[in-house]
Amino acid sequence: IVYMLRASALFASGVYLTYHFVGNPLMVQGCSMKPTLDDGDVVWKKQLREIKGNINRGDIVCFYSPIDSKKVLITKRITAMPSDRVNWQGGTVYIPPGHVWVRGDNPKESTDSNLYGPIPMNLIQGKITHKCFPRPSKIQ
Amino acid sequence: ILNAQSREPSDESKVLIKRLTSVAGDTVRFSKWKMNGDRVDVKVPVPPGHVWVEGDNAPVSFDSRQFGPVPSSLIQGRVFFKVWPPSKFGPVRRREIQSKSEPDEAPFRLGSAEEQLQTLLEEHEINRKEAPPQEKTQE
Repeated sequence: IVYMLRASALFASGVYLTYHFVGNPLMVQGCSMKPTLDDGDVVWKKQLREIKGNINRGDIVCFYSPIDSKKVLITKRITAMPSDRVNWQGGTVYIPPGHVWVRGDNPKESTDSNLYGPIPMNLIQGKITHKCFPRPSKIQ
Repeated sequence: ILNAQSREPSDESKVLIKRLTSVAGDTVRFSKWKMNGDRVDVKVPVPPGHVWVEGDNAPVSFDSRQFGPVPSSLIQGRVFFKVWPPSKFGPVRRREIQSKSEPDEAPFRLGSAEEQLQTLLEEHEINRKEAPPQEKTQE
């Protein structure tokens, strides 16, 4: 019995460390990223310890919501980087340093930077690299 | 009210320690001085999911008066104890903030987030054009 306890403790810490340092599978909720990601898809989120050099325009990232004080993870695509300009509501928005502009691939169903503006990069926790289910594939 | 430690919104590698002085739903009032000496009284509503942070040493503090409200999810933790130097060893306390801010009467509507965003974006554009680039040497 001690053996089982020790084995499960080791397994649990292995899973925890993987979650924290490597990545974890994640189930997509909602249709804001159709057709790329659909409700119920399972994706692989690669944990990003350092954000600065690792994200680019076009990446799908997971970040804590800027408008919700509970740490809710939101998944969207980065469409603009710092010092870019974005067309928004008839004008342009300048993306300040340390921020990105995010949009869902299905813009009509998406609450994203169109509502809450550029998000600080520090909210980003990881990026989606693969889809595990239904059809395993690498995300462009 | 609390001391919070958060990743700085404008520089992704820095962590800031400031006091949390207002929460979502309040409106913060403070004064800004322009380069020519004019004083501007500013009212900034704190959007949902955000907080307002200010350093205790207001004149030299780089805080929400410069970079605006901070999303609460950026907060990493709370400062509750001073370990070093030995003369300052001891707990770090909350402080009651006198009414520099006032709670809004109207309940929050998702629509008004767009107005607040627009105001914040306009303000940022103005700051970017007027002020010389601020050095990140301030604490």
